[in-house]
Amino acid sequence: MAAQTGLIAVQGARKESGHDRWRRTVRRLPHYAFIAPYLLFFGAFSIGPILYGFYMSLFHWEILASHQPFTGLDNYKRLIDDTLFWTALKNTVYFAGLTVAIETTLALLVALAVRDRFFGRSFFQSIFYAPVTLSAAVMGVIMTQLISTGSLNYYLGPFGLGNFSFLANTTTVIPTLSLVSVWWGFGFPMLIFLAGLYNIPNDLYDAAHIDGAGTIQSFFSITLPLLRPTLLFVLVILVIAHLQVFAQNYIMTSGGPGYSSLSIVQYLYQNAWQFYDLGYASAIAVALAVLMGAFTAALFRLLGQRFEL
Amino acid sequence: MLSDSLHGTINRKELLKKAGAGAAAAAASGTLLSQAGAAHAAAAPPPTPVVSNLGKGTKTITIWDGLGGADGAIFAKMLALFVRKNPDVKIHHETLDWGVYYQKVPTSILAGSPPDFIVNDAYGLPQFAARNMLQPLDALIFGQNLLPKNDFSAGELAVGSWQNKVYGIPLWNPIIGFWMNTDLVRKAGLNPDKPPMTGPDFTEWAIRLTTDSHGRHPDQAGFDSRNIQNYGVSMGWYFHSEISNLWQSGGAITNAAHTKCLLDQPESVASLQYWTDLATKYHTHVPISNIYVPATGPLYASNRLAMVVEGSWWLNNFKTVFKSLNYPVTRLYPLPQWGSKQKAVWWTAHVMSIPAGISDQNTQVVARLIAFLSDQASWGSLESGHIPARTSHKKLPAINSNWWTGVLSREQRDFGRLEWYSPNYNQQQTYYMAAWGAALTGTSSPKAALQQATQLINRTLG
Repeated sequence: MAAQTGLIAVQGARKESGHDRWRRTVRRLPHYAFIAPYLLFFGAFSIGPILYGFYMSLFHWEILASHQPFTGLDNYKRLIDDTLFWTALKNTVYFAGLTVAIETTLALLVALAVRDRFFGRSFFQSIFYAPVTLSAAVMGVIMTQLISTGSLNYYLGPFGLGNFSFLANTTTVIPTLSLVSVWWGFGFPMLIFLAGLYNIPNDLYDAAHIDGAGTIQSFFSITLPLLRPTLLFVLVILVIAHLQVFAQNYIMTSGGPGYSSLSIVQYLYQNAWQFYDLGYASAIAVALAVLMGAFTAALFRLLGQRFEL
Repeated sequence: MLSDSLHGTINRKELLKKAGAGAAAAAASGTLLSQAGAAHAAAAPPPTPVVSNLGKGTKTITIWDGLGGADGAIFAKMLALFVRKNPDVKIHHETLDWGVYYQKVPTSILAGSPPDFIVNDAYGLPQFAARNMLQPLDALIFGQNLLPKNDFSAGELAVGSWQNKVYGIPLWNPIIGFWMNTDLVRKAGLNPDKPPMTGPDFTEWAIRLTTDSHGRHPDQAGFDSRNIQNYGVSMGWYFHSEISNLWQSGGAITNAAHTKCLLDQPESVASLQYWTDLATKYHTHVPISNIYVPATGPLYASNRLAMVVEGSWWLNNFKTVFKSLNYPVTRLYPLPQWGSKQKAVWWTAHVMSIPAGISDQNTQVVARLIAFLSDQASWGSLESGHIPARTSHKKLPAINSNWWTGVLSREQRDFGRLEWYSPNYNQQQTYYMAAWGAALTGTSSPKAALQQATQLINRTLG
């Protein structure tokens, strides 16, 4: 083993000739050929628009205007002074934090519950996943009908909530949207957690059991540490998804009451497609991208290790 | 091994299986939901297709609009009639959600592939015209004598104009109305032949018509506002009611020169306070949770709501959803004068326009179509609930004698008032709607909410 390692080291130290480099490049060409189509589309439809969006944020860019004046960083300065932007930011972070926390916890608990074999397991797995297949619009309309037309209140009447308007109260509007989003989306992280749970070798639980570990101790000493890469993946995708919340607020509350549930993407949409101020909307998009990058980096740092996702 | 129960793997096949089963479950629940609504579906007429191709002519024109209710259904019939009488024309017609419509029109013009003909709300016209998205129509329509210009009142021409140029021909006029379930009114001991005409009367009626689960009214001791059985009033979309009340109270969105927002003035605050009191003090209003009040329709349909202030488009409900509540159970009344100054009733128009960048040939075909639709608007109005835009049509006995356009056309003639449609209308409306919503839900005081809106709107003026 040591000899083998030494040989590799010697080979690595040998200076690579031009011919070797050429041969290596030729050998790798098929790899580049395989990823080229994706890279092409990724560049054209993702990187290109992102860079163009940043470029637009430096202009007073109004749709169909004959002249788009360059304004430098004015849109970003406007962002700093814009109280609605900060309101939307606060709402979005609150919504995302709450939703990610509840959704992740619930998805993990349900995944643990439906992991073991029992009668009807597949049925429950399917039922829990079912809401994910609904489109945002369908989910929004169903939930609006349920919450805003009194159907839910009918059942809550005995608890003194027969006339309580969950979406018309500044305290309850975001938690309500959050719970609706959890119901709609927790099936997806549940499935990811299930896959992660199935990848944990059973021998570890057997050994822990022999050593006298109980269910809770096994969960915190085996399940949770070994699920950390899965947990990181789930947290990153959920944080990114929920920071971009739009449809629920747009359909169910229009950002109200007042601006209590206005989200960043909704504010971006308003500026771009209702006010036709694409330059400012682009600046909001850039700010949101920075925010999502910061949250993602913080998550990686918080969970302590780099994982191959 | 302790047991096999902890064992398991999830492979791609299983993942797909579970996802498939999930989708099937969702589909099944969707079926159950649709079965639950089968009673309504069975009663409703077949839906108007949102995309349709009409005629077999060689001149193809594309039409986009946002007419999704009874007006959309009758508009489609009018188009079908046009291609029957003009066999050289083929129409591709798409009805879009209004939100999508206002995105697609500008982007399609930008991309060089706009529709040939659009129908939008009048408020959208200055936004489009100021950004050079529309063709002027004076010479094309009135210059070629396709339509008589003098058959449109000054107000009608104003809603289709921007900076003294006509960019849109009004088809018909949506207008706010006051609908009332006369059975519920009688049961409450009130006389439907003597409806409320003033703000205090209206409040009194709203209180009399609101009861909790013990039959108590909001002004009685022990009234349980958490368990309301019957509601007195709902505004549906509160925009139209509040703006009418704003004008009636002597307020306005901006000053006459449109350089300063006036929403923080006492008159404006008082008008909003009126509706806020009905909602949060007396609990007579259906709970508000959105820019519209989604519970309005279901509560009215289940005989739990007596008075509704909603637009002419509400007529569609009596043809489809609440057939048993159609006239004479429901009657349409003149709008009360809630404010203390002068009665005013909000109205607007659906206007027909031609986007910029259309070929000359298609422009001529669309000009013919506009003239045809305008000529047909009177019978279209009787179906859609809106008032026809042309003066001669407004005078027709059929329009003046029926239970909806009869009332509404008199309201428009005597008290009708138009908003100021600016190129930044959407932005301004977004701000004052948020303020009104905040006050009506009790989230903010009317004064504080309107002060914030005033600051934001002032930035869009001048």
